[in-house]
Amino acid sequence: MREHTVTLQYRKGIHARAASLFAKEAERFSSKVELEKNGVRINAKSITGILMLKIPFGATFKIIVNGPDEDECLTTLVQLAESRFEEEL
Amino acid sequence: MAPEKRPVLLTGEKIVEGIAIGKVFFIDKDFSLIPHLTLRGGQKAREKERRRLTTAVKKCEKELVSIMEERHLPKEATSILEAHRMMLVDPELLHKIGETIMDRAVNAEWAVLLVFDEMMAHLSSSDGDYYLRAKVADLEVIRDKLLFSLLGGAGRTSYIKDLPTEDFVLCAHSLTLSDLSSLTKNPHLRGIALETPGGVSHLTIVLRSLGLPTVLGADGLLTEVVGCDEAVVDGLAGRVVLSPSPADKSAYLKKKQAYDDYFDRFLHDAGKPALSRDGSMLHIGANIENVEDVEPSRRCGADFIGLFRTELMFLEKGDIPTEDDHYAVYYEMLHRAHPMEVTIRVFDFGGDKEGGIHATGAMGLRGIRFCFLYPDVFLPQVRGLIRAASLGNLRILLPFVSAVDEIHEFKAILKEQAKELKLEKNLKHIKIGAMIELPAALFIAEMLAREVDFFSIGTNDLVQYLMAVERQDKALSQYFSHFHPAVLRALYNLHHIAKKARIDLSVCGEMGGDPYFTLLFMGMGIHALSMTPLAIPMVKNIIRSSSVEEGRALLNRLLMTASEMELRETLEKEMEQRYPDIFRKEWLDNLKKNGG
Repeated sequence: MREHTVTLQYRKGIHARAASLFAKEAERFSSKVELEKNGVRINAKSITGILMLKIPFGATFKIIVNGPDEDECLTTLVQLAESRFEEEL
Repeated sequence: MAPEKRPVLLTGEKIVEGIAIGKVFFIDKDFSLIPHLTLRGGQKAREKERRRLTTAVKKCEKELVSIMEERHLPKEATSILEAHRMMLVDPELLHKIGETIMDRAVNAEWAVLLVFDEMMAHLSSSDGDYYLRAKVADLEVIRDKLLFSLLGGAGRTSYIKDLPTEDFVLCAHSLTLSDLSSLTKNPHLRGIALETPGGVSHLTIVLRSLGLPTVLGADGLLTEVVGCDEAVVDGLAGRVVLSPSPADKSAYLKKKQAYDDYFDRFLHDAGKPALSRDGSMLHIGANIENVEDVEPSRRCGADFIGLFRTELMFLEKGDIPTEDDHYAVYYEMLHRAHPMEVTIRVFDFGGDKEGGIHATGAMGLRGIRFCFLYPDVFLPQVRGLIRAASLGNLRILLPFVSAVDEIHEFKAILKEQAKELKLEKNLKHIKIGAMIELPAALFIAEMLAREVDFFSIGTNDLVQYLMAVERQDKALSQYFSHFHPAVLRALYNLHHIAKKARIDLSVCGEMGGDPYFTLLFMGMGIHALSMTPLAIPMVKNIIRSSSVEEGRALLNRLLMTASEMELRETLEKEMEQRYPDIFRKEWLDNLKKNGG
């Protein structure tokens, strides 16, 4: 299992489109992926789960991955949260 | 035959004058009529509901996919639809709804309502996040899709398309702006009655611009309307009559005919210029919020677009409009309005408008202050404006200005963005104006006049801040008066300052379109007024039948008046005597809107 704490750099916060992008990226990996914020943990392959976590710009949250491709998965998702939203949305 | 329903009279707030009679078309936005069933018959009945849910989800997904495939949508729209699709088929969501069916023994519709209510409540407990509304709106879309699919329809939009083919009046608790935009395309819609209170909200502004007889705040509408076939919306008296008796109906038809005749007489001459009897020309503008309002404004006799409010774009999209969104709307606007000048006001999110934006109340974070604080909202707008300026005729209006520095800052932003876009050449086509609505702006008007090309007076806010009274506060409504001598003096001084600085000035709040003030404005020497399109024909009529000289005499008399009550009484009496055709006894209640 690996985890990493990130700070969201996307100014609009995680809205529906951002959540869908995140869930899609998570779905590509066979590892189990979860997000945790303020003690609440959700399945990051579920778009509604991500939305319900309410992640605004500048918030910190934890990405927790567990499975065979966890290294690559974690790198991809951290990058997404820290920079790529801005480019892709 | 069903038993005859007795007539029901409801009272509310009149929003748009006129009378509408027609079949009732009822939208149950609150879903209170959606069947809430407790399941009997154990496991089997619950399994059946779960299967209904799965089928409904599949159907909705198919619909979404076909929309994405068939229509050539911009990339952004597709990605929103894709997000909606993912939410819809999210296994966790389905599991939750399924669990609710099983555990609580409720039908699928009820389970959907329960689960979504909980999610929305959770999101709404958020912490001042101004994108919140967009997220809740996304959930609403999915919920409505699911519900209507479960109920055998194909989604709210198509449900709204299924409208009567004869004259009808719309009854509902409230309406979203997107409901309205699909409804108003129907030629049989005659009037609107809603339960939701009026006040100064975006919905009210849009309803006003539609010009259909409208009453808001009709308490009890939702319960009384069930089983009613016909209704009257009396936008003159602020009444809704459900199941009118034959006698009611004929009386209302008579009243309707009389009012329509009265109004149409002015509309007939609206195309003629607003030239006073002594040869002074006034320019009459229209205040609008939609590109579609340009044509109706022209028909009402508008010479220019005096105020285009842009906040609606934000609310319609439920997200921050992009530079391309802005550009597309402004381009279309300038193109359709050509050769008229168009004044586009940058975002003015006020305490009085709905929206998920930071509710800060009337004092505080509004207008240009908000724009400077949120560059991610404002810069795309500025860039869109610069790009559209190549068409010419563009005037940019800055709301809530209180300092000269703000004008400098805006100009710097404009220059910087134009440079980035390599469109510096467009800057020479842009005129910049300041909205004068704060007392601070009144006192530095001379300095502001040196920095801008025009002034626009927002009388509603000006009166609110001069008198220190919130417009919505009914208990204080006697203080919110356009007849206060301070208001008259403020306008008079501003006119002189603008004249001396040789810049344009127009009055664009409610006062601009109030026929009681038209002659006074002429007397002051004001050359431009902007108003809701429906007010134009009457104001033009007054101008054509008066002289500036008469106006000046009246102004001189009133400038000496110290009492608000005396000023009001004198002006009302004068106008009613001078223009008996306009200020007809039976319509006086509708003409007296301001103050008191």
